[in-house]
Amino acid sequence: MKKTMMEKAMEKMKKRRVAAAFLVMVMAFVLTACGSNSKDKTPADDAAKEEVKVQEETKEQEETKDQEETKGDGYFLGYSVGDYKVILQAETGNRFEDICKEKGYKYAVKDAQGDSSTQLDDINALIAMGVDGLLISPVDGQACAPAVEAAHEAGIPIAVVLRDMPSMKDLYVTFSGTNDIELGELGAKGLIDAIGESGKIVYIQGTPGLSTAEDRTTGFHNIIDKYDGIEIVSEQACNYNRAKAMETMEAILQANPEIDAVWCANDEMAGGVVQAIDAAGRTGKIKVGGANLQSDAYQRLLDGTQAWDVTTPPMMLDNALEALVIVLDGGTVEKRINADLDIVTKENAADFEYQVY
Amino acid sequence: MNEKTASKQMTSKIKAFKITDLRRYTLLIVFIVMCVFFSVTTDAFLKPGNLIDVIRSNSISGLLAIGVTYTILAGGIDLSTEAVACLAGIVAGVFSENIFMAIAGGLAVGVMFGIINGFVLTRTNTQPFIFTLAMSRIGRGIVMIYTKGISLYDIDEGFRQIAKGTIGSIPVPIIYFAIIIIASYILLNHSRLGRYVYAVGSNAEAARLSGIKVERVRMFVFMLSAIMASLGGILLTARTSAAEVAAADGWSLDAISAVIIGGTSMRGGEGGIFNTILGIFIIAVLNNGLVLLNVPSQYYLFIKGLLMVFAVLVDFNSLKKKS
Repeated sequence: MKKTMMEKAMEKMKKRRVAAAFLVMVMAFVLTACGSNSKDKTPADDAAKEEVKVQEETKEQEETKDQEETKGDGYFLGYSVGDYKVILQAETGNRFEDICKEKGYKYAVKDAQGDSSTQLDDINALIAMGVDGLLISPVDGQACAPAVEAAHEAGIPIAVVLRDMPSMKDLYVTFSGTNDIELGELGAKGLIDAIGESGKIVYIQGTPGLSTAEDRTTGFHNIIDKYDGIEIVSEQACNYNRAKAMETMEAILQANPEIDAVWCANDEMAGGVVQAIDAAGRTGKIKVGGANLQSDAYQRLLDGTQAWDVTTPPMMLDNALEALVIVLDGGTVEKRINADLDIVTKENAADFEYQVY
Repeated sequence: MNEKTASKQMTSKIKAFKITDLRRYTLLIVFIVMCVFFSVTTDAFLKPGNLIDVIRSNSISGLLAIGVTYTILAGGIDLSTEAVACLAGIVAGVFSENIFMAIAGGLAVGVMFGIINGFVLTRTNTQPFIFTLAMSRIGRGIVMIYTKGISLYDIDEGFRQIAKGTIGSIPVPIIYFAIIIIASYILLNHSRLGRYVYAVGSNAEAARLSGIKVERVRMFVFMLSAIMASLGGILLTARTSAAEVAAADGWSLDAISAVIIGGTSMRGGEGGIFNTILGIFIIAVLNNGLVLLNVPSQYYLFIKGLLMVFAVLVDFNSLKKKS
């Protein structure tokens, strides 16, 4: 009796092992399929492979670090990214890795996935890993404060990227980024440039509650509300999401036979809006603006389907990283490194091509 | 003789109407009231163009809801659909130069996830909720590793046509959706497999004892929901002409919400395709109407939450009456 039970258990184990092996095989297949597919098609694949390489290299470095002292300039830098799903932040993450690799720094990147409590954990983990310097692109300008305090107490210099943390001014060495209120104002100015001082307009917001989205909205209203001739016929939040913006814009187009311009708080949404307008056969009658100067928006500016855009140069990361290293080397840097925001149109697009990502 | 059985059926139908169909009709009434309300309060709602837009906008995310209807009917759940859609969309985007490869590649993602979900969930005691959630993370994770967070915008024009054209004045995504709905309806209501799905959902043990191969049915529902999701992802890439890293964000829960609002029970074995269609369009009409009315978007979550509470309470009441 016992024996049979044992046998049964063994069989079950066997079955499970087979299942596990199968699972691993399938996953490996998925991964390799994904990797090899695009070999000759997209640069992203090469990049992905490179990343794997980089990770391997860092692993090796990590292993060797215990044995031999790193070179004087071989700092260990950590970067806590707010949300890799936001393309601008992903781009800064990628640049961070590239620069560290080039300069021979050891590095670690964490993705908080848009959650400030995750970011607190990430930053604490980076501190525990023993980073020499820390870069943060905060999910929220306020919520990450405790981790910044912890890093400061541990004597780790901090550079803030993309979004400011005003209450932490005394604790970080520099802030390199943009002001989202200013970005909203420029979005509004671009709109005025495009259609003049009167008209019916639509504003597509980002994700409600995120400081980037709220600040852009504040900035946009700062300017637009000054013009009596401008009427906002619809203002909707589309969570920085392309498909959502497309769906919402379709409804707005149905409800409003007369629209002169639309400003979207990022280029993903502008992409969706442009397609909704195209599907409704109203291309050319409605001017569309975006923000971030993503590669597809750049293309739309050249095509004329998008009228203006506001830049958010990913080089902000480079400046912050440079400043951080200067501090680590014993130098001093400016408390605030301004990234210039600019309104881009078809006319001056070529001047900003270097910022496209 | 025939008349007798017919009248018998009629009376039983009337009885059935009074009790079990109550909530289906309640939701239908809610839907109609909403439509009437938006028709009166906005000029644009009843325009054919608007109605077509509403259906088209939901005909892609609707595929995920159709797929997950099967898993819920069979007593399971699938939280990995949005990740499957996203990954399939990325794969389709990468191969977009060759339409056949793009579609095949995207569908392969669905098949793969369906096999993994189905295999593990039929061979082990793992909970579908946690396992499919894990698979969702894995799917999104693969997207992140592969794209490094940068969406693909270089989508071939030819591939985009699969979601762009119209037949007559009906956009093709609606036609695909209609075909899938009809096929799903026939499969679920007029095939042995469909009956097995209900049987497994209502009482898996009884189904097993009556000779139904429960594992196969479960395998089938997980395969189906993953394949539907991958189809949705492929069409989404074609329609938005971008393979976004954040594509289909939140669609798993939206799909499950639509299924539940439509009146399909989370306990399994009760509900159907038309419930899901009703659920999809209650949410869709609400979304559309709120935009047409220019209601500030801060209110959306609250209003949608209220609607779900209502749907759940209707479910609760009908069950109480039944017992």
